[in-house]
Amino acid sequence: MRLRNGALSTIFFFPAGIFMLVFLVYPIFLLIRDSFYKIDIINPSLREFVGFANYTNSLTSERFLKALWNTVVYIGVAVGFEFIIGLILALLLSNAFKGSQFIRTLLLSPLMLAPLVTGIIWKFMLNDQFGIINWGLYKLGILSDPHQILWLSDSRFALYSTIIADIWLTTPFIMLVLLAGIKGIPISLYESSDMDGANKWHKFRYITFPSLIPVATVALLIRIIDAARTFDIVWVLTQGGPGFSSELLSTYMYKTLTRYGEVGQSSAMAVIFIIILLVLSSFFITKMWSPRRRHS
Amino acid sequence: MKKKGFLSIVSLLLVSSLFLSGCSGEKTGSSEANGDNKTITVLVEGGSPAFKVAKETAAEFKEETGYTVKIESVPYTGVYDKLKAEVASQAGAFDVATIDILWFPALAGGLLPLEDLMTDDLKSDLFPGLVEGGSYQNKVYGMPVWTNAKNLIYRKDLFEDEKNKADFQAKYGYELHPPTTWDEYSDVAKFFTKDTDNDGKVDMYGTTVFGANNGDAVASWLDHAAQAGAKPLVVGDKGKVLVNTKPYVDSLQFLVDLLKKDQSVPSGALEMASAETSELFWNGKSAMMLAWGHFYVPSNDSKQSKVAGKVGSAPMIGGGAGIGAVPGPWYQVIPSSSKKQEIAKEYLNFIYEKNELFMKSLGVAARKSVFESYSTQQGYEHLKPLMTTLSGPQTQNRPSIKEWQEIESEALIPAVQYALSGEKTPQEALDWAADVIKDLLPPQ
Repeated sequence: MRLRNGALSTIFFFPAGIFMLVFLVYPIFLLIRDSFYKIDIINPSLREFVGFANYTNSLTSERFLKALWNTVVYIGVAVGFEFIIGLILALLLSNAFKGSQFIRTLLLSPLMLAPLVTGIIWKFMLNDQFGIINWGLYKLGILSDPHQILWLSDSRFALYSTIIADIWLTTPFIMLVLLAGIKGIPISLYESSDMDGANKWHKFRYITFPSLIPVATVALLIRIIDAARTFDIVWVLTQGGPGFSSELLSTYMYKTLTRYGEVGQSSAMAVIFIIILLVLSSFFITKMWSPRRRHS
Repeated sequence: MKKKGFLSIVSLLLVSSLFLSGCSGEKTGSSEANGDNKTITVLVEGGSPAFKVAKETAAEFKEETGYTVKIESVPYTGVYDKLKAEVASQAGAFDVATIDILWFPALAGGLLPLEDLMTDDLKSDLFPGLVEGGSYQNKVYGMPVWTNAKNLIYRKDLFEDEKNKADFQAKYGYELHPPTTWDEYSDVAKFFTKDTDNDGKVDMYGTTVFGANNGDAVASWLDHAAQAGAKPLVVGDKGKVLVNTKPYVDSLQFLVDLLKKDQSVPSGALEMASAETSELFWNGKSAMMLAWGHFYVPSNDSKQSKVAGKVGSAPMIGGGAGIGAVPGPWYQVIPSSSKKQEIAKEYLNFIYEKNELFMKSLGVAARKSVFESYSTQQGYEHLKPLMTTLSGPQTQNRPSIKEWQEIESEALIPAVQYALSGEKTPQEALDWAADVIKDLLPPQ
């Protein structure tokens, strides 16, 4: 019976296995192979083995390290804010009040937009000539001139402007996941804490927050990986400029491949990128969310 | 158990047949597109004049040759991406494509040389530099469809206003007229920059400076570098990097001065390029613009422009070395992977004969004869100044090297932006760019 089950599960796995092999494992194999070559895009058969040169070039190039740093800042700031705002919204919405259903639906609306569309919307809103953000700040008396902040063309702000658009787009996702987590906490825990005389802060600190950790870890993990590969928003808003100030690894890799035709170089960068993401996610999964540890 | 085994084998077969049918489907698809059937596939930018002309003439071409013209339209960068993929894969998906001059070095390896189409008659009817622009390493790969350069487009009504004339004369000591030199250009720009509704904010600008994160900003700065005496542009003989020499630094300083010192252009220069500039001009918020020549036509179209009927056109301004600009011609090419090269060549000749249609839809064309016959017609007043610009002593193409796209994105756009944002002085920005370019060029 055991053997038969084993065989059966192999058979069930087979179609998906082939699919993964053809569309995931094989392309990754090609990617890794290409990363060791210098390839002429016009005549791809002319390839020259260069060993680890593409890797050392990337890891020693200021451009790559700057893009890597920007990606780290992007992930840290965007996911950090999304988590804090998402948690606050989830806590607020977990208490049913009149109209909370409606507000919840309204808050979820950005999730239904494609990142590309979000980028275009924010490009208009952040425009320094006629954008609504500068105009609003000017009308509120915060700015003295409606063209004062060059959101997208000042190298100090460009990266943060793209982060603002990202926060707007994906905070609802974190909120939704955390809300589901909060709803899943047994009400008996709160009832017994009431008996012990716990106040609201105690309940949050000792019941809500610890119970949310597994859900929050999944939400953070998904968002970190998602943020790391952000492309559309940045591409639409700044294309990585001005002067590389908002260049992320994804936009830099794209330019290297499509504009400059450096197949080997961009493959090496992609491999480095995949390794970083794998290390990051395995750290999360093993350290912060280990089912085995919890059972013991 | 037997039944289960049978089922699993059937499902396996089904899955593998799915893959196989996927493969074979692609093959039949491509052979159908490129086999003996009578169609040619033309790749153009959607909505562009090339698209319109291809569409308008398809029926006539079919009548003449029996071949149906299948038009594939994609966005601007899509043309390059698709053609690059075609060149690499040699799939034979396209027979003709209309491309930007900038893409030749990157694509030339996969294009068909067109020497046999370039007769002396044909060449003598083209503007100087146009055939060279479509060549790479002394082989012609492109049949020009239109050429273009930045020209001065200005508000005729403001320049002809008697009060403006008197005020300008009093302030600068010479007569107000469309500027022909850098100094005049700065003076006029300063003169027209005003707060017209007295709310303490400038709402009318003299002109604009291009600093957006794209090649337009570089082309615009190189116009001025050429005027200051740069020749050749950016990279000289034997890969010598010229970009931090005097003409380049002076011209970048000229733009920085307009932006920072004179403040005669909108402060958001780093978001400005052709589209934003024309929008500003059409809304009556700038007195001049240095824009691609054909922008004159929509500027006088009341559907697009609030200042229609009040717009004039003059040649590009000149610097120390005279008039100079970087042309932006487009070409038709044949990928060498095309399986219908003869009929594709016939199509190129057919479209060349129809060059006038580009003039009608875009306001520019490639043939001198078309320029000359239209230049006297109403609505085409921009052609004479444009011809002057195109024949200017310093008018020249960007260098035809494979690394150009990378040089532009990695060195020149950031350098222009560093200087315009004040992060670096023009000299520092261009010294930095020169170092980057040296690394990008292959060792000599």
